[in-house]
Amino acid sequence: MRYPSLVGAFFCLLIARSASAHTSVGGGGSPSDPDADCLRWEAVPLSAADAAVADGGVDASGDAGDAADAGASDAGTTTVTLKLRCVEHATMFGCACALGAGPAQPMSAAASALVVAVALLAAASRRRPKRRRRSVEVTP
Amino acid sequence: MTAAAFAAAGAADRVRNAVLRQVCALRALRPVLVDRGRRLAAMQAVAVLSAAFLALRAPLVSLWLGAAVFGVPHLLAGVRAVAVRRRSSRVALVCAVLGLGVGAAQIAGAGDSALRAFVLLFATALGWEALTAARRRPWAALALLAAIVPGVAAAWTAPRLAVVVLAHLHGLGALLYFGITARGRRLPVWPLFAGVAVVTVAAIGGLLDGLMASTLYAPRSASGSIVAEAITAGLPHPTAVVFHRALFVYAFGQSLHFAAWLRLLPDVERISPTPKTFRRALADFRADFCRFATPLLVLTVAAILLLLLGGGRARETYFALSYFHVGLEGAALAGLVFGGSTAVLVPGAKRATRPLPVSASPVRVDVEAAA
Repeated sequence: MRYPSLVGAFFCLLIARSASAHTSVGGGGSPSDPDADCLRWEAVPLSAADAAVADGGVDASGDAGDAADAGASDAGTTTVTLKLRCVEHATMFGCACALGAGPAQPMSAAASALVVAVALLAAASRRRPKRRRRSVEVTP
Repeated sequence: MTAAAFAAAGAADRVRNAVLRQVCALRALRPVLVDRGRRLAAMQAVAVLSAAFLALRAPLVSLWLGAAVFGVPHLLAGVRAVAVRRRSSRVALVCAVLGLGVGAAQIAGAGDSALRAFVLLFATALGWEALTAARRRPWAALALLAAIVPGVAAAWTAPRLAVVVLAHLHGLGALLYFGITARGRRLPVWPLFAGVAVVTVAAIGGLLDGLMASTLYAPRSASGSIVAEAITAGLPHPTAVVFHRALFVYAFGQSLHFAAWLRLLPDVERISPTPKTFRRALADFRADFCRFATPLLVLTVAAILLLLLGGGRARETYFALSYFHVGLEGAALAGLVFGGSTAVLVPGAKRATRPLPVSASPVRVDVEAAA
């Protein structure tokens, strides 16, 4: 391949173009999510009233609105409704002025400019006469 | 561009010479600087202490700065050590190239499929090392293969947990790689390994709980990415104690693995017993990477700026495109463990060159260059 660096540049540009997916294994929320900076979640049992409200939202018959029955199953065993609640947030510092905080265009533009510059440098340096590389193994 | 880089390196050399001259004036500190073994031991102690301090007081900042400032340089240092100055197997190199492609697919939203592909590539690279070493070390090769098969099966069912485990193993692998190489040259490694053992056991045992920061600061621009990384350090829905200890161990290991590739290993592998000047180091970098040297330098500087200022998007791109080196370095470590040579390829060296000194000898550092 005669221009591998340019091919690599186009490859990287495609990546920069589509670099919007969150790739970390930990997930993460959107900037508008108030719990986006949540470090630790805990499952807490819903109170009877909360559970009733939750039941009422899914039970079309309307009977689930009775708070006294909330959480009790027909068999007499108690069903505990759990809800995830953020119990530890990270404390932010600095501004949200990062290239990545806004739309994808600024980041892609910066990445594109960088990749093109690197590709041009690599292509330009290829024209220089090659010097034979001499290597020798050095052992302790 | 190259001239500017050499000019900058020359200016940095002058500053370093001035600092070294002042430090060497202190009689107590002089042996630490002029003796290779003591210098390496001191650097290991500094690395352990600084990594522990940062992981205790500001683990999220440590993760942020580590990836931003040392991320791309440590990739280059790792590739240089295992694939440029040594001969990686073709299988490991092919897996690394495919890993870059998988990283691109992950950015495009491949999700857990990409993680599974990474696991397969890592296993292939490691398995090949075991197969090629089977004749020399049959039992060790068999043990590695026996560990790989259930490991891959487990990783296939829980790819996200597998990535966390791989991140820890990757950090530990960097330390082992340094340790084997340094011991091959009879240089001390005990400060690093004793420090890691003591600090890790103390953290897991709860002795450091009182020193851990209760408020964890993170830069707003990359908070989503950093928080997501921190969450993966521990178990799902951990207690406060477990989360902080796991985060400490993770941040501590990540910092140390940067130190191993960027500071400790280069000091072991240089030919001369005296430290190199920055100009010499730059010349060696050019000799190793040839026509890619200048583009890589530009890429490194730009990547650092992007990672510092570019927020979470830049971090995620970096992580996805850097997974390839985990398998490459893992295969290199397996090669060393299976009795591979610690010899390095030194560009431009004459065959009759003096071998690498295996023991420390009191030598004068290069402060006199500016005199």
